Amino acid sequence: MQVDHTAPASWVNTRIKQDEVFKYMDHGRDFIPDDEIEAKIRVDEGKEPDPQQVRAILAKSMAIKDLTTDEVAVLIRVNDKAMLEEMRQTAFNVKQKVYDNRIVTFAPFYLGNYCVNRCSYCGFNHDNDTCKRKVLNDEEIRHEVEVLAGKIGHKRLIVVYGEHPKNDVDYIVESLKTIYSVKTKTRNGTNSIRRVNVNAPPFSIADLKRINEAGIGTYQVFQETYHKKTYARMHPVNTIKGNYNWRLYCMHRAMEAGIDDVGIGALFGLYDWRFELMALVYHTQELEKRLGIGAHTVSFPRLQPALNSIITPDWPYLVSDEDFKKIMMIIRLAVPYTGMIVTAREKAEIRNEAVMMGVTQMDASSRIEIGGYSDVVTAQKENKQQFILGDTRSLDALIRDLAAMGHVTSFCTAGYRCGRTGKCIMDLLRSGTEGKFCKLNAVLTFQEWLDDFASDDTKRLSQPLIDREINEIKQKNPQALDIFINYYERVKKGERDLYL
Amino acid sequence: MNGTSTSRIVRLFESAASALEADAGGPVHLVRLIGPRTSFVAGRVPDEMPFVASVRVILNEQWALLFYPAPGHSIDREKVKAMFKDLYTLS
Ligand code: SF4
Repeated sequence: MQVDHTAPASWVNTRIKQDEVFKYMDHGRDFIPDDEIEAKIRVDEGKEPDPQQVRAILAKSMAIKDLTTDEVAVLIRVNDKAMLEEMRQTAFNVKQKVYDNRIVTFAPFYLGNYCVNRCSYCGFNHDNDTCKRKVLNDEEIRHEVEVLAGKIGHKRLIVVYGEHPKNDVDYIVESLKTIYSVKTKTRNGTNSIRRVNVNAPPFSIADLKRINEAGIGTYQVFQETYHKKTYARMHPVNTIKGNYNWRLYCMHRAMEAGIDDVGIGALFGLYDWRFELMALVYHTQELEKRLGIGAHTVSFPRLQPALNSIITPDWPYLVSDEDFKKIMMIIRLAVPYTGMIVTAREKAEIRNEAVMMGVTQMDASSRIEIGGYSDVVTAQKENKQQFILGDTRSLDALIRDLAAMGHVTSFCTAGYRCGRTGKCIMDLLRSGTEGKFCKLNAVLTFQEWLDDFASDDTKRLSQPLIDREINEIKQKNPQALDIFINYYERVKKGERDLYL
Repeated sequence: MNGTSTSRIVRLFESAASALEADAGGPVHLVRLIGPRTSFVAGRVPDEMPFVASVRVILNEQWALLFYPAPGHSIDREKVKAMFKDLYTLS
């Protein structure tokens, strides 16, 4: 029998602080101009753009400059196969220029699935009586982290909280403390979670200050759909999430609360992907213009049809694989220095291709049911998960596949612990300097992981890659060599968590 | 420390920044300490950041300076702290 999980009205009705929305608006107008976006994606619709115009836009991306929304609209119209390949190659080159051949890995960690909202596409929605509800207590969190850090070897998490009093700000702060406190022994050293990014509901400035004080990495909130009519259809108006602008302006509040790394995203497939893509660019531009810092990461999860959901196989806005790839390359080209996350929602084949389109972050060994990491049963459980995973590769297998493609897996969490955050990291990414720090830290953390967790196969395949990276550091970054070699030798002897 | 004192420490830092940089021979950043996080608040970010282990001078439980000293330069912690003594009266 299901326990009643309705939240008290006194809690629900005090969540939204309307004054913390209005104050950022421009004479009552938000920054997503629906009509303007629709008009831009209809200009010359169906007509292949002039290749010279497209190449000029690609050259601008290669110079690590943001694209305008008009330029993004031109790229959306490209359908010519050869030109799409040029776009893909440029997207990859842009990523290499800013981030080099590194992919950052993390694990999603769902702490609860109670939710007061009624999003029509989500299995956790309040009215779904078949969903088994749970919120992890302190001891359960500890057990999960022991598996994540001690057995799998993760060092970075995205912790996911539902919108419910059981997952309120007190719970978030306490759970973050618990996660950071767990230290585990490994084959040759020790490990712990070093960076916790938070995916949570929109909060007030006061609550966000408290979350910030707990030492989070990135604060992530996805708008789901930026299209207002679709938003209203998916999120009933009498729910907290039904307030479009409360969600839209949460990153403004986050930055006012002192959080300087924010992650935005859209759930592709709720409405026309072209609209959502344009709106994401409008969002990053608004953050840059108003707050001086763009989004630290952009996410673009893609909806799949689901049982008992409004999203059936004949839903008109489902995104094909080809369009999904185009979305990824255009995001890379539009915001060249912003991190891009593709999660294990997608199948392994798509994620392998995503790496060649400029994606920078991926999860692995992911479990998205509550308590899934310490659960001995390995099959996915539909009634405890928000969606079904497409890529169930272990971290070891992902790292091996990436190494075979020439990519170094980075567990670096240095930036946010040594002051390279917010405007500083954005400037370093733009100038290409951060990439040099990252290479050093990537090699140090990759070596740590190989020594502590890798299978023999993965080690065999990855060690030559590390040797190649060290050679490159010798040639291209000789001024960093002394300190790097000193740190590297210490890591090889079992010292952990050394970074530059 | 409230918002007003944040802007006061930024002003204090900005007035001292060029002297601090001259001593260090490299960039100096004002950062806020938030649990495990060290958040950049102010300072020059040159196109070529030096690859040195930064030297951290903790001003109080919330604020610190990160120095990226050039070879041969050392940081006189007491002198730096003295430059920021007003900080201890900000609350
Ligand atoms: S999408 Fe998020 S807010 Fe909506 S019902 Fe699901 S868990 Fe709740």
